[in-house]
Amino acid sequence: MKTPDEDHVSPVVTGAPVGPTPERLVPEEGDYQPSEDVQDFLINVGPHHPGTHGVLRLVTRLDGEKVVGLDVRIGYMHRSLEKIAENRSYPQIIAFTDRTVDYLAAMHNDWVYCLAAEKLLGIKVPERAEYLRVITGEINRMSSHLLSLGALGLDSGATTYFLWCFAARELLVHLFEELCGARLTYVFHRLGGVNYDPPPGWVERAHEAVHRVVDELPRYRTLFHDNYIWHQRSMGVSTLSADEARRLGAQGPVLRGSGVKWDLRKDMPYSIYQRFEFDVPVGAAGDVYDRTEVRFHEILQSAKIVRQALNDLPSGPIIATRVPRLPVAPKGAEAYARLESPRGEIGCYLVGDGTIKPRRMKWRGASFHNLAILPALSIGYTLSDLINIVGTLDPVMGDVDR
Amino acid sequence: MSSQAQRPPRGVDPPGRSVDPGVDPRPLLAEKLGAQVLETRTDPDGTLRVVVDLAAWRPAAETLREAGFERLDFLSCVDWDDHFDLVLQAYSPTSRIVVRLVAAVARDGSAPSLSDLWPTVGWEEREAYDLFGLSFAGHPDLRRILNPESWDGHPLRRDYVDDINITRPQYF
Repeated sequence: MKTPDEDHVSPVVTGAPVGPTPERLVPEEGDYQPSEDVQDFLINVGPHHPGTHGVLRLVTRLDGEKVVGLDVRIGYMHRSLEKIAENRSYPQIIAFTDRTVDYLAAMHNDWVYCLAAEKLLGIKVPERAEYLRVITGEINRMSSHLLSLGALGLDSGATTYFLWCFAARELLVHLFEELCGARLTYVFHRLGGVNYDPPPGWVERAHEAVHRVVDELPRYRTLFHDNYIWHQRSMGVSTLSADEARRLGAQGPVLRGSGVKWDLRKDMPYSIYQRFEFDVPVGAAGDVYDRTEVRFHEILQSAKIVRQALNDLPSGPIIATRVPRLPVAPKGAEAYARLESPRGEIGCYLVGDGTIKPRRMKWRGASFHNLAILPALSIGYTLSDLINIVGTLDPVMGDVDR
Repeated sequence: MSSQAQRPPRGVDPPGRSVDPGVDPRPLLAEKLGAQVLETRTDPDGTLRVVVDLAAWRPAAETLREAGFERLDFLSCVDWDDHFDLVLQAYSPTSRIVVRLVAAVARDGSAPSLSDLWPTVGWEEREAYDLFGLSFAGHPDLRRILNPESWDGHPLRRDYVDDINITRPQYF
């Protein structure tokens, strides 16, 4: 069967903007001169603002409509995950990692915590569990990217696109509901495997849902990605060269949108990603348009991985035998695991204490690092562009504030 | 109008993507810092764990940054009751070598800031200041980041007492 993505969309993204580049949006070196008639003034965006995707506060200094200074204030949703983790046993922490941090990619957070804890405690994961982790992780990447793209569309006025993205996401979220009973905070992973075997017929329904989502996507291109208005809003906005993206330490789609082909699934493979065939889409200009395209094409690549993993899904146990109920890590033992979440590299650093609780858990969030470079990305552009730039960073404030 | 037609297809690997096994930071660190490198160990997962004297914190980080360790994992602290372990982890995207740099700091001490070496380390240092009370000399904008400015104390210290918000009984 020929898959829809082979028919309609090339797996590689875009090129430098050749079409009608909106020149009024492109800043140049030394472009900023304080106007004589308009004084600089401060405007406060957020923390309760639909464009900031959560409780993010941006104190912006404006000259007219142009952002000339930006202070990013975070912490409005700080729930102290790391302190909580110091008071819980290793298996208990899983319930916190998917709702306290990046709740739109809960599978990835549980996964990275389990990777770190399994490394610390020396637990091996059975084959079928690895496949289920990859399947759920990639479906979660698709649903997270759909939400991100839809919210970006909503920010720039494309309400229909937002609703369409949500409709497609619903198909994927329904799979998770069937698998583990939850739509957002799954607690699907366990130390040494996963907690639920797919119910009868789930594999076929997952094939069907992924196929339907991929089948929808060309329609979305026509509505939004190939839309002239979107091109005017996105091309040449917040351009970031590859060298600058590497220097700043950009994460995930922001880094790849600038043309740096760096994806941990390919470059520092974890779990069983070496077994799957997929491409890493990259942009060139590193503008808002390219980052959006990277996300769009990552949905197709994730669908490709899900199909391969569903076809190869082996039988066998889903969780390692003889995992202690309350495992103990030796004092001073350290482990760090990282993986490629929809927002970039996330990581978990665990230090053992000789007890059933960790001495220290440090959460490394991709959104935290991406937001730290927001001033470098947005100064020189207009306030309305700032909202779109925040949208392309796709920050989840749970991941930033922890 | 199709943007596929507007933009030529791409996907060519940028230069320097192949794995380069030759970059080992250990001789570089030993050459530059000498006896200030207190301990070097390779973890089972291949992470190079280098313990340095606090005086060598910034030179060691500079050496790593110049050797191509441009991807920052994190900078943080571990509270060992009598001292903090200041931990910085970075890796090189060309050689895939991961280095975890560790230095012991006094609990009321200060460490040199690295915020000019990795741009996002500035926020990580603000976080360490906020949650552990460790100050970073030379940081351009050292203020609390997750907690409000009016917050009392530094919550991730092991001796932090908060009778109002943390009332969990000890079950085990």
